[in-house]
Amino acid sequence: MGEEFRPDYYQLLEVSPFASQEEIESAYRRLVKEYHPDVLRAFKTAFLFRQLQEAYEVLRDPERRRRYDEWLRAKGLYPEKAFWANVLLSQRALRPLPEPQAWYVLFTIHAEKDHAIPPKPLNLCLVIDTSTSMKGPKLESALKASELVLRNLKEEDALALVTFNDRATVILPLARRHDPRKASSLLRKVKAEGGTEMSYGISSGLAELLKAGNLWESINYMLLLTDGETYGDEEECVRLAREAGAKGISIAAVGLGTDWNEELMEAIAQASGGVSLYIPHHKELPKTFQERVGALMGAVSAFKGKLELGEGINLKGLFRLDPQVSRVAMEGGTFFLGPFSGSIRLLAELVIPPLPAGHHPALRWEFGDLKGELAARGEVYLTIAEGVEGERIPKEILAAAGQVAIFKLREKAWKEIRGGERGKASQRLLFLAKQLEKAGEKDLALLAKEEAKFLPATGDLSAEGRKRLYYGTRLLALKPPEEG
Amino acid sequence: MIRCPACGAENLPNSLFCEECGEPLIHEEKLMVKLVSLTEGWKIEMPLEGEVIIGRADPATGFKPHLDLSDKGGVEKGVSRRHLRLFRQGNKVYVEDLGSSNGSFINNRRLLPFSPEPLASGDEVRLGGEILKIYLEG
Ligand SMILES: [Zn+2]
Repeated sequence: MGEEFRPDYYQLLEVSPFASQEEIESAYRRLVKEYHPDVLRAFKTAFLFRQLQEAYEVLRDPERRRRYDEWLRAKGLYPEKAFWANVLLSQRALRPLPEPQAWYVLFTIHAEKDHAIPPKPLNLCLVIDTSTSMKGPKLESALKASELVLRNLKEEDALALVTFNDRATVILPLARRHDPRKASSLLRKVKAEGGTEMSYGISSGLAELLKAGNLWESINYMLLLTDGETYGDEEECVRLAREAGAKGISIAAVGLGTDWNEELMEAIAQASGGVSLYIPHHKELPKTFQERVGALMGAVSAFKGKLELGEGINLKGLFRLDPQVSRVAMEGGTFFLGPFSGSIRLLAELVIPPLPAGHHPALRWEFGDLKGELAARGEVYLTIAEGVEGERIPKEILAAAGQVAIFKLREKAWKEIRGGERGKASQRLLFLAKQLEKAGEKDLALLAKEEAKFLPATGDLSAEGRKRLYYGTRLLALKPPEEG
Repeated sequence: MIRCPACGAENLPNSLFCEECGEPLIHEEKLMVKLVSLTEGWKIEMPLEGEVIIGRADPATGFKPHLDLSDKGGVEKGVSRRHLRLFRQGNKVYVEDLGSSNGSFINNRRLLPFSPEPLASGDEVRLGGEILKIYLEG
């Protein structure tokens, strides 16, 4: 024994612990080209090259790799074969500076190709606003969308439907295999009247979902639809959402039209690891409901994450990029990511204090299901070395940071509007317009400019402009800036 | 701190985008580098994207510098295969000796190997016996 290992060999080779020997070989060959003294020069090259060699020497040899995996397992760093997170750094090494500097880490969490975990059945609750403003075609569309969801569920999936105005009503209690005809006739009786008190709807929806008993065995989701502002119970809504998230229930907060509070809907989504969506017209409701539920089918678990920072290192922001850009709400280092079946990218913006040359433990990460059975863990090391210059920033990081930059401009503008800083907010929208234009988003850029023009006089955005900018800036498919 | 070229806001070093205005901070404006040989009289102009390595091609390993002095009297003048590189960091250009056998000089001052120094337009850089005047054009 007595072998000296580092916990980040797989990360250095940018492969998962489940990579085949062939994948390790080809990753090494690719990286060696990037690291080789013929390509990169100076001290850093030798420094980084040595690390890569060390990792490769261990992983190329199946026997040494087995011993290394054992070593990781003993440290609790070897994952179940289910999920992995690829880790990409903005720079592999930083220069020692007398002042703090920025560093970015991009995680791509994905299910392993041939993982053996079967998808879980759905435990779904639709929570529909039936206040007076929903009257007519809006309510009809919402009920039609609900019926479609019901019809497309699999036998093992459970569904409940709750409506709310000044109070909540359970129309369909949580059950599998609702009789479609009976359900339709119940839905036809739903009327729109009264005010909007959303927390009643959320609370009643949660109660239905909790009837499922063992929440670990299902994908638990609430589809919440409203077209108006809730009255005075905003904090209660977010508190309930956080409670839901902790129990493995995520909320898709869907706003119809322009008269609802996007910041509240987003807070509900964030707190529960869900998403918030803007539906301009009720006709799109059936499609949106179908897409949301479709995305859940095939999910194997709801996810949570945990980040622990090395000494002196600060997390400036944590953002998820899929399915749309949003800030990740963290409590005590833990956060909820909701159910997913594809992959999720997370960008961590870090502030590195002045550090001496060497390897520094920068970040411990953990992603896994809420039950804690399927976890992937790892450690990210930061290399500080003299003579580090001219390293190319990976284009994946540039693209992610670019999307986040636009998201943050929008976020700042909203904060300034809320704080009555009209001039600042207007200038911010112009900055936003410039970056949107560069990203090829001409319509959104134009909209931001228009809104910036009226903002100093009105102190606010137009209702439609507000929703379009808020949601439009989160779904951009940005190209990284051109090189040279 | 580094200053955003678009809005003037201060950002942390190595920030990728400006916190105030969203401008990319690592985006590089096109920069041309013009090299004039004071010993041989030739002139060459090339874009400085990331880095320019000056040296001699090595057919044995397939190594090719961006600027190959093999057919410009590089062997006789003692130019190493990997002699010198120019590179950009933000708005600054640096010059670095790559551990060459006969050394590099900037304005008659010797460069320590692998210790980049800032380069200004019009500086004279010597690689062994080859003297280059380097101009930077934005
Ligand atoms: Zn700026």
